[in-house]
Amino acid sequence: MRRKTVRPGFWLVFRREVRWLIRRPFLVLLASIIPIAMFLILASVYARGIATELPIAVLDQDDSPGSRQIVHLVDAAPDIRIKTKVVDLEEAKRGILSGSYQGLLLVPENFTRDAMAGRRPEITFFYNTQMMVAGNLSARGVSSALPSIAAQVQAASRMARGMSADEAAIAVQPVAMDAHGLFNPALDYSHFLLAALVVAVLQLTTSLATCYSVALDVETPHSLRILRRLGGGIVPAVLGKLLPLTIVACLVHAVCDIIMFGYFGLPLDGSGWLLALSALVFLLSCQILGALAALFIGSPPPALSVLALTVSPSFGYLGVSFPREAMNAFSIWWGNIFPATPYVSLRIDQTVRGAPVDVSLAILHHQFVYLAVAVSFLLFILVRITRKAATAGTQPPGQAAAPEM
Amino acid sequence: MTTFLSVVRGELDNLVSNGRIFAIFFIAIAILGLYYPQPYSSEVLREVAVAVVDRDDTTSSRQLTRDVDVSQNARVVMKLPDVASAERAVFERRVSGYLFIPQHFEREVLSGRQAAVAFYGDASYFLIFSKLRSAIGTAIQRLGTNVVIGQLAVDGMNPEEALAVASPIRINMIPLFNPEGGYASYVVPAVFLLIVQQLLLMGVGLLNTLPSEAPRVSAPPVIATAGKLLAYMIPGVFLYLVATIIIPYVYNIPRIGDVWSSLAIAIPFSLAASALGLFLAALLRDALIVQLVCSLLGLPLFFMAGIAWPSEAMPELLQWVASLVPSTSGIDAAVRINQMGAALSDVTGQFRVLWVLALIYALLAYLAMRLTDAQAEFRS
Repeated sequence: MRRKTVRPGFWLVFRREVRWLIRRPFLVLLASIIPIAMFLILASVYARGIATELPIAVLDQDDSPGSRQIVHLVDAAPDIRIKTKVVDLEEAKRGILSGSYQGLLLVPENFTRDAMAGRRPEITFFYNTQMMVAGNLSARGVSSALPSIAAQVQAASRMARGMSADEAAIAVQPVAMDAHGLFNPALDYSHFLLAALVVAVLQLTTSLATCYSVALDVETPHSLRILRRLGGGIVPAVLGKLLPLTIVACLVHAVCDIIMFGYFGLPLDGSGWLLALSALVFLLSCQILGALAALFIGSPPPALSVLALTVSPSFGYLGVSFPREAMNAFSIWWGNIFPATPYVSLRIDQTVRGAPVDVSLAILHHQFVYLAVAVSFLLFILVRITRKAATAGTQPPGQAAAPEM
Repeated sequence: MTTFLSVVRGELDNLVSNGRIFAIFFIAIAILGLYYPQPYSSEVLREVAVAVVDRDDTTSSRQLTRDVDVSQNARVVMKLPDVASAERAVFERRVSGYLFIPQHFEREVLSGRQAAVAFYGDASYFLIFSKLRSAIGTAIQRLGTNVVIGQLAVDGMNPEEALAVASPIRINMIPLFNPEGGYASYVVPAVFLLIVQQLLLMGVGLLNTLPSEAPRVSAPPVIATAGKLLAYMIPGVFLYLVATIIIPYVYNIPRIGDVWSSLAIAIPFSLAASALGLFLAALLRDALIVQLVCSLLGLPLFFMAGIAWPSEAMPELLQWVASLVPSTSGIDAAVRINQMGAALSDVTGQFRVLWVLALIYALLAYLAMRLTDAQAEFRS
C-alpha cells in the first residue's frame, strides 16, 4: 500500500493512540494482563466447582446401633463430612462460632427406642446461615440424606409386618419426585459464576482503561481539538481513539474464553456468532461508558475514582449472586446502566442454557439500544465541547495539529 | 517523643486538608453505604415463580399445585398445556422452573402404585433452585404422607399410629444466626469490611504518594512509620465502626455482638490494612497507580475472603494467599463477633493473624521507607 503524507483521518488517530499506549505501559497492563490475572485468580477460587465435604459436627445422645447408623449415613452424603463428635451443646456452639464446622446434627436420647415405638423422635440439624453458602450447602447435604433414612426406618417397620421389600418401598413413598436441575445437572456453579465474573472483570478494566486514555486527552484543553483535527472530524477521531483498546479488549476476552471453554469446559450450547456479536457490543459499550466518565469529569484521578466507585459494586446488580427478580425497582433500573447486565444474560443463555436464538435476540436488541444511546451522548458532548472551544476562540483557528505527540 | 507526636499531627493535618483524601475516608463510605446494598435490600428471596404442566387435572393434582403455591418459597404463576411452552417460559426467565404432573397421576396414587411427578428447575442459580426444590419436595411429601395415612386408616389404623408409620422421624432443620436467611444480612456486613480495607489502602496509599502530601515533619523511618500508623487508626476505627454499627443499623441487619470484642478486632484490622497501604505506596510510588490497583483488588479479594464461596472448598494455595490479606481474617472475625455473637476467645486464631499481618506489613513499610530515605540521601 502506498503511504501518504500525514493526512487527517481515522488511521492517523489510530496510530497516535497505539504509540501513546506503548508509552504508557501501565495502561496496556490495565487493559491486558491485569484482567487476565484477575480472571485467573477468580477462576481458581471456583476451580473445584462443587463444594464437597463441608465439615459438620455430630452430637449423638442416643449412641445406639440405630443412631450410629444414621450418623454413618449422613456422613456418606457427598456435600458434608462429619468432622467432630461433640459431647454437649456448649462445645458444639463454640465450634460453630469459631468456624471449625458449619453445623451440628443432633440425635436425641432414646432415638431408636422412640422410633420403634412410633413416638416420632426428632432429628435436628443446626446450620450456620450467617455464612450462607457454606451453611446452606451443609443443610442440603443433611436434608438430602435424612429422608432416605426416614424411608428406611419406615420400610423396615413395614417389612416387619410382612410386606415385601418392593411393596414397602412404594408404600413408603407413594408419590416420587423426579428432580432435574435444568442447564446444570451436576449443580456445578463455577460455569455460571465464572461466566459472569469474566464479564464483570472486563467491564471494570475496559471502562477504566478507556476512561484513563480519554481523560489524558481531556486533561489538556486543546487535546480534544487536536484529536478532532487529526481525525478530520469527530467520528473518525473517536473511532481511531477507541479502536486500539477495543482490539486489546477483544483479545483479552478471547483469552479468557479459551480458558473458560477449554479448561473449565463451559459448553457452547448456542449460537457462536450471536455470542461474539454480543461480546463486541458489550466491550464497545464499556469503552463508551469509560469515555463518558472521562468527558464529564475531565481530570484522570477523579474520573477514575468515580468510575471505579460506580462500576466495582455492579457485580451485585448483575443478578448472578442474588436474582434480579427479587431486587427492588431502583436496583433493576440501575442495573441497566451497566453494559454487563444484559451481556451476562445473553452469555449464559447462549452457552450453558442453550436458549433459542430469538430469546437472546431480544437481549441483543437491548444492548444495541444501550450502545446507540451511549454513542449519541458521547457525540453530543464532543460536539458541544468543540463548539464551545471554537466560539471561545482562545486559540488561533485553522492551525494544523500541533506536533505535541 | 515530640517527633513522634508531630508526625502524628502532621499526618492528621494532611488527612483533613486534602479534599480527595478526606472524600475517600469520610464520603465514599456514605455513598457506598447507600449504593452497595440496594440489590439485596429486599433481603429474602420468596415466592419464586414456577409453572405447572398438569396433564391429569384431578383433585389430587390440583391439590398438589395448591400446596406448591401456598408455600413461602414458591408461587405458581402460570399453568401451561405442555412441556415445550414451560421450557420456553424458563428460557424467557418468566419462571424459574416447572412441575410436570403426568396423566393418570391420581389413578396411580389411589391404586397403590407409585406415582411420579417431575420437577425441572433452573439450576443456574443456587438460591432459586434450592428454594423451588424444597417447596415442591415439601408439597409432594405432604401429599404422600396423606395418601399413606389414608390407606392405613382404611386398614383400620388410628390416625396417630398411621402418622407414626407414614412419617416415623421428624426432621427439624434450624438455621442459626440469620434465621430469615436474609441475603443482605449475609453479604452486607462482610462486604463493608472489605470496603473499609479498600478505602484505607487507597487513602493511605494516596497520602504517601501524592506529591502535595510530602511529609511535613522529617523523622527517622521507625518513628515515621509508627506515627503514621497511629494517625491512620483514627479513620480506620471510624470506618470500622460505620461498617459494623451504622450500616447494619440502617439496613436493619441484626447485630448481637459485644462492642468491646468488636473494637478489639478494629485495632489490629485497621493497623494491618494501613500498614499494607503504606507498603503498597512504597512499592507503587505513583498516586494514580495506587488508586487503580486498589480499585481492581476489590473484586478478587471479596471472592477470596471465603464469603461468596466457602474457603474450605478453595485450593490450598489460594487459602494461604488469602490469609495474607487483612480482610480475610478481619471479615471472618468481625462477622463472627458482630452477627453471630462470638466472644473474642472464639476468634483468637483470626485475631492473632491480624496482629501478625500488622507487624509484618509495618516492618515492610519501614524497610521500604528506609530504602527511599537512603536513595534520597544518595542522590543529594
